Amino acid sequence: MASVTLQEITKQYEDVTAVDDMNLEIRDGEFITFVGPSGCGKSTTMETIAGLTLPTEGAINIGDRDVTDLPPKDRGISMVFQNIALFPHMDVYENISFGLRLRKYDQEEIDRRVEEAADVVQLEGMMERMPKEMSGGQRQRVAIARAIVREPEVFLMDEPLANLDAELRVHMRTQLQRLHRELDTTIIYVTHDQAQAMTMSDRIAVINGGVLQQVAPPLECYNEPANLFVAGFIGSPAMNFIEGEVIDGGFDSQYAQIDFDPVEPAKVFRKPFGIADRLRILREFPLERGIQLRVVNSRRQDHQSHRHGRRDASKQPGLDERGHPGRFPVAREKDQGDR
Amino acid sequence: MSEKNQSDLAAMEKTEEPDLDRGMVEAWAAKMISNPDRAYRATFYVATIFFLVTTLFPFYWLLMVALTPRSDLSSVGVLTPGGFNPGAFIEIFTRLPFHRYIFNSFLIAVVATVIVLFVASLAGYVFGRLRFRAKNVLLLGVLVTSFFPPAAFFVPLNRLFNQNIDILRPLMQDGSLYNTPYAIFIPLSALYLPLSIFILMTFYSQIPDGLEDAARVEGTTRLGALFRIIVPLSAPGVATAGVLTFITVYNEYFFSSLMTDGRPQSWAPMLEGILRFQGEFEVLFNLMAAASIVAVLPVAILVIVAQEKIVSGLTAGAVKE
Repeated sequence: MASVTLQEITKQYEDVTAVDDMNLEIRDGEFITFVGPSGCGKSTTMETIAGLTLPTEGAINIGDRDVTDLPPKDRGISMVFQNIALFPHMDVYENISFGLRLRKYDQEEIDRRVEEAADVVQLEGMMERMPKEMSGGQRQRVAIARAIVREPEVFLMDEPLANLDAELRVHMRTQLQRLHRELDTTIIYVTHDQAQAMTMSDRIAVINGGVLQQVAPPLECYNEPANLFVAGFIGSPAMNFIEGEVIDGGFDSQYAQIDFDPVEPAKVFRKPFGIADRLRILREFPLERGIQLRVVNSRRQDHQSHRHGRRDASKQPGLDERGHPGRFPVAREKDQGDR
Repeated sequence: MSEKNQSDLAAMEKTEEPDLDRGMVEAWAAKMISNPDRAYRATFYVATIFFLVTTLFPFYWLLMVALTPRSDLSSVGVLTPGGFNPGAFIEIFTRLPFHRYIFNSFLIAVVATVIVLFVASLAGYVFGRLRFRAKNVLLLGVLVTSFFPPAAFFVPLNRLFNQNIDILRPLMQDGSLYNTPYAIFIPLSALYLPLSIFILMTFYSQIPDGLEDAARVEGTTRLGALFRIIVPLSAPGVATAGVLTFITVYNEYFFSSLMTDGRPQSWAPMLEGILRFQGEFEVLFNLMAAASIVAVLPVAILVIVAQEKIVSGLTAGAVKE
C-alpha cells in the first residue's frame, strides 16, 4: 500500500509529446482510472509509473521513495497487461511464481503464496496447465494472480479487460472490485471504456493529448465537467453542445433560453462558450425554439432509445415534423457514429 | 478433386477432340495440365531424390571404401566393398590419437557456438528490439564484415597470434596464442557471428513487447528478460543459429590448420587428423574414409538432438499477442 505522486511528468518521443507536464497525486488504497481516447497518453503515463519508459522530465514517488530512476523490478509494483502477457513456455504455477522465484523466496513460502493468489482468482487445480490450453478469462485470472502474488504496493492495470467478451468483462469487473476491497491496495487502471471507469473507480483522471483534464470522482466528472472535452467525453450518449451566450440570469441561444443563476450550482453553465444538455439531469428543459434534425442513426440500448441526427442547416429553427420541439439527444456533428 | 477434374477432362475430350489418338507424352502432359498438383508432386519427388542421391551416395561410397582392406582398394565396386575389414574403424584410433582430434574440433566448436550464441543474443536483442540512432548503419557494418573472405583476416591474425603478448604470459606458457584453441575459436566466432546476429535479430524482434515488459515488472533486468523469456521463446531460432555455427566451425579447415602445427596436443582439429593418414609413401584411403565417417557422428548426434528442440520449441512457442 502506498500513494503515488507524479510531479511535472513530461514524456517526449522524437517529435511527439505523449505526456505533458502532468501532476497527479494518487492516494493510498485508491482505485483510480485513467480514461481518454486512444493515443491520449494514458498508457504512456502508466508505463512511466511502471518504469518501463523513463520520463523526459519530472519525478515519480511511490510511498516516500523517489522511484524516478529505479528499474521496474525495484518499484514495488505489479502490472496486468492488455495482451495478458503470460509467459507461453511456463505453466500456470511457473507463471504465477515467476517473480517470487526471481526474488529467491523459500519454496514453502512460494507454494503458500501461489496457492493463496490462485484462491483469490479461483484458479484451483489448474496449476499444471499451459497458457495456450486456457480460455481468455482463465488467462486473465492467471495474469491477475501473477500480479497479486507479490503483494505489491501499487497495482497497474493496462486495459486488462479489453480482450474479453462482454459477459466475461462484466464478471471480471466485479471480481476486480472485490479484489480491491480484499487487498486494499492502490490500483491504477487504464481504460478507454468509460463504463468501466465510471463503475469501478474512486476517482477518474481524464486525459487528452497528454494533458490531464480533470481528476475527480466519476459522478463529479459527469455532472460537473471541468471543460468541454470532459463534458463531451464522459457520458453516453455524448453530450450535445449548443452555442449561445450567458446572459444575466440565464443562457440564451438560437434554440433555447434557460433561466438559472449563473453563479451556482452547476459550474459548467458559466462557460461563456457553451452549455450542455446534461442540464436535463438537473432540470429538464425544452429546446423551445426547436432544432430540425435529419435522423442519421437510431438505436435502442437497454431501456433507452437514441437517435443520432444531423442538424439541418438549411432549415430555420422551428418545430419538428410531429410538432414537437426537438428534444431528443442529438449527437454533435463531428461525433457522428462515434458513440 | 482429381475425380472432378478427370471427369471435366473426359467431357472436354468428348466434345472437342473426340477422335484424336494421343501419344503417351501428350496424354501425360494433358493430365498434368488438368491436375497441376500431380506435376508439383512429381517435381518434388524428382528434386528430393536427386538431392538425396547426390548427398547420400558419396557417404555410402565412403562406407564401402572404409570397409575395404587397404590391399584391395582398387577393387571397390560401385555398390559393394572390395572386401570386409571393419578393423579400419579401430585402426584409426590406434595409429593416431584420432579421438583427440575429434575432441579438439568438438571442443572448439562448442566454445565457439556458446560465444556466438551469447554475443549474437545480445546484439540480436539490441538490433531487433531497441530503437536507436545509426542502427541501420551498424547493421550494415555487421553485414559487410561477413562479406570479407576469411583469407583477408588470416595474415594479420596469424601475426597477432604468433606474437608474444606480455599480458598473456601468466595464462599461456610462452605468451602467444599459436597452437592454442583460442587462436581458432576467437577468429571463427567473430567470422560466423554476423549470420547468427541476423537470424536471432529476426526471431527476437517477433516476441511481443508485452512479454518483456511483464518479465521486467516481475523482477528481471532487461538482460534477465532476454535470457529467461526471449531466448526460450525463440528456441527454434537459437537452435538454428547454434547448429549452423557448430557445423561450420566443426568442419572449418582454413583457420584451424594454419593456427596450429597439426599435432593433436597443439589442438589441431579433426580435418587435420584425417589428413594425417596421408603418409609420404602411401595414402591410407580406407582409414581416411573410416575417420571421416566417425567424424560425422558428433554432428549427426547434435542435429538429431537439436531437431527435437526445434520441434518442441515450435509447439511450445504459440505466442499470442
